[in-house]
Amino acid sequence: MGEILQVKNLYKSYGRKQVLKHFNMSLEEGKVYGLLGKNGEGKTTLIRMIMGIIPGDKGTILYKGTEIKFNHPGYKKEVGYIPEDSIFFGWMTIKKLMAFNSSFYPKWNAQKACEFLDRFELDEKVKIKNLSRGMKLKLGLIVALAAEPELLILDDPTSGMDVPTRYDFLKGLIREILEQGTTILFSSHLVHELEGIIDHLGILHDGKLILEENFEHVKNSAKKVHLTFDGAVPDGLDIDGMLTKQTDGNKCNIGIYPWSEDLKQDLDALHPTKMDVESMTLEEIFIHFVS
Amino acid sequence: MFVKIFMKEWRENILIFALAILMMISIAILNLSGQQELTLQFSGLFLLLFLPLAALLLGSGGFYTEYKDNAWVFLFSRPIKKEILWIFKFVSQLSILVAVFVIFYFVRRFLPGLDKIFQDLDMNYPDAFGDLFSLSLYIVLPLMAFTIAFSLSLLYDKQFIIFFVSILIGTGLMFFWQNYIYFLWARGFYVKNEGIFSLFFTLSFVIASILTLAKSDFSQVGKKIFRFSAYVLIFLLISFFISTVWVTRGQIFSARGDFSIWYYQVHQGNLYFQDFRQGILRYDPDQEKITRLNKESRFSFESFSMRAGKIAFLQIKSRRQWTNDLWIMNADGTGARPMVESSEKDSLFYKKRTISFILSHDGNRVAFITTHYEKEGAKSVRIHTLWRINTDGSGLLSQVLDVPESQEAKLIAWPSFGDSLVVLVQAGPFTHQKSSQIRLVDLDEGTSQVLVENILVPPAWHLLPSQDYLTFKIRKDDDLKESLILLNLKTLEATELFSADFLKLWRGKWSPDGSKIAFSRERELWIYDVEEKKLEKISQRNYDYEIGFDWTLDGQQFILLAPIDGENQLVIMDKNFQEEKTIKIPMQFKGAITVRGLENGAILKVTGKGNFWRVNLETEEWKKVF
Repeated sequence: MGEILQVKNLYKSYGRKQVLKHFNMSLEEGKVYGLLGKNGEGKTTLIRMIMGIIPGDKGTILYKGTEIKFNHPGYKKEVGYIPEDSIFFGWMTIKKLMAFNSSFYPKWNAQKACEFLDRFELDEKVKIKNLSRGMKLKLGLIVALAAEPELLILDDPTSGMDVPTRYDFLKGLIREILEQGTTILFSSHLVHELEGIIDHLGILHDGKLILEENFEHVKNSAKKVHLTFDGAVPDGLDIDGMLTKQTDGNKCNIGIYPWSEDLKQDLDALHPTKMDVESMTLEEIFIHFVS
Repeated sequence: MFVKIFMKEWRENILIFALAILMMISIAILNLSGQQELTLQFSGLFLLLFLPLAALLLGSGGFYTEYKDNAWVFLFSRPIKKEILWIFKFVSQLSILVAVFVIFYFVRRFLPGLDKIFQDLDMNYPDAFGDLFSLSLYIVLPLMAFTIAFSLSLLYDKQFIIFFVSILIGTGLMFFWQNYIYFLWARGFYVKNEGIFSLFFTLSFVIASILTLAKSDFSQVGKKIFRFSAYVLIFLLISFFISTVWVTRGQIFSARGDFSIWYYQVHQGNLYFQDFRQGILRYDPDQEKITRLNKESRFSFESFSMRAGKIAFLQIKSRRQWTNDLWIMNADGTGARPMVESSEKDSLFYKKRTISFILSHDGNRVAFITTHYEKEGAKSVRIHTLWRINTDGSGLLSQVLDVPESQEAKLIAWPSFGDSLVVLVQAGPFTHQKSSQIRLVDLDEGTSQVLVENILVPPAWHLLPSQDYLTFKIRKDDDLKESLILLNLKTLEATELFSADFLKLWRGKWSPDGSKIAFSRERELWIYDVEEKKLEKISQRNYDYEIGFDWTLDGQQFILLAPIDGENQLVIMDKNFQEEKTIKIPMQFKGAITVRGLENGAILKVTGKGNFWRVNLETEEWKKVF
């Protein structure tokens, strides 16, 4: 499978604030890419640049190997986009929105839209301004999916959803979408949601990706190590790949990425009385990376 | 896609449309219920401002809903180019304005009372100018207002700020351009089609707006405004340059340049007329020679007064102070000297602007009106002063005229008897014309008598050469009918020559001996014999709407322009208005033709063409003379 989306050396600033700098990323076709980052790190800015809503300062974005130029929107017919907030005209009814939006997409699937409306229990006669935040997000999902996108970009979509809908979305719907061969870029600050869904992980911090790797590989390579020494923790405890270090008397907890047998031998050489190695959850990986 | 956007824009602006309809229904109800006065007061202002304001309101909310619901993110993430989106939105919203205009037009057409108000608003110009005025007020101005406001609306989410900024920018640019045009005039440029800048500067906003939308980050207001300003500045400069070339192209691309004439006089068989660039010129038909009379290179206004071998004319003295000087010279161009020194600090006329002037019947005295401002508390008050002076500089007399604010006084006649002057006090534009009046002012006695009120048409072109008669149009208070009145200034006897709904008077000419006046109404030509007090329609021909006609200088023949068998012809009549012959006009033209009788000949001036043609009535020979 090839790469459906590539971002190369992208820069974006707002005034003096550099939001993205030397940003690189690539999405493999048919996979789910989880983009993690704290609030305000530039995830939405990146996605808006990919969607051609705002221009970048410098850099290149490629869709299926072809450069996306700002205000050349042809590729958007194949890209679905669900933002974190409602972006629809409040005065429109759901039915009117569907009709309005369908005119932009040649592959618009009206039947699919109706099915989703039933599934999400949305009445098409209701005006959008009268919908709750969660319902608007569901509506955004329908609008994006009925266009039969090849790439679906989700910008923190679950933050306003109620628990059952979120569960249905994360455990069921995403799988269904993937089964149709759609690639997903899933941006979120709710890290735990992505576990078990994503194939690839990117962590955005300080305007650039500090980690971009296959998620299984990350899971296998990110470790928590608990060390206990006879006396004080040695001063020279500073090894390659160490993300975090917490010292408490003669005990020391460190986060390491990537973990390897060589690193284990290096730690053994410090003669700890006890050494426990554990895998990290995605949330722990994220925290260790951005701390 | 367009249809959906079209429907969306209509739905979003339906309230403005509904409001417009409601306002028009209110006017119609008032009108139909016979409350004419209320309708006049209410609808006068309303009809003037309604369309431009509706256009501004609509345009300034161009991107309002996109801001309000954050829906710009939705729209801009759809697969559509931003410039296409801009154009679709613009066209859709424009269609709302057009719909309002169409309803507005039909309401006007089908309610006779309203149409009457429009007649007043059009200032009773004959159709050619009235249509131009209507076109500007009801189509061009709203369209410009809408386009500018719409172009600006993507910059900021506060509709009322866009609304006022649009007004400021639009009026500011127009003000700048008008002053620039005046600057060109004052430097001797002949300027025409100056309205072209309105089109170009509006287009500048359109292009700047589209480019800004296509290239900017919509979420960053500061950057967006900066980019828009840069674009608009560039395109405004280009517009300014192109417009300058456009309006002065006659002068730039032609050795002679173009000229415009609407006022001319005949003296001793010679034709005197005024050219924007070259000043006052004399055409001698015998020698076929044109002589430039005033050697001053500075700009002269396009009017002069000529009596008994003397010419009075105005020359700009100080553009900054908006003053000018009254000059006088002999008919052969000799003895030119200023009568007024408005830029000399020790002069009585310092900073006084001459707005109207007239020579006495014998050419030995000149009367003129000046305006200046005086402080009255915190307020500046405009003072009108009427002056009279002998052409040798002696015998200066003056009287301050009581002229209401927003009105202007104008000298229109100096009768051959006595020393009274006839002054028209005319309402300014956009005020109801009922307040215009004619006064008889005697400077020696210091008296001022109101002769007639409710004047509808400035009567300058109906004056008898002796200036002992006036003709003018009035509307009676208790009647919607308009009347053409002949006033004998000596006896103050008023005769109603004609009365009808909507007198569409265009030209009026007195015979050289002052015994008859000819005037055209609709497509008819009428003659009134002052001595016999007899009015008759002189021909049943279907004449051109804007009829050109005149007597020959000896008064023995009457020349009339008329389309006959699809061709423009001059109809030559004897003094009893019996057709003698017709002469085909050989050149093609569009627009009105002015006919001026000469000794056994005529001069024709085609509006906008800038050429004089002379025809010999005996030999039927045509010659281009200027």
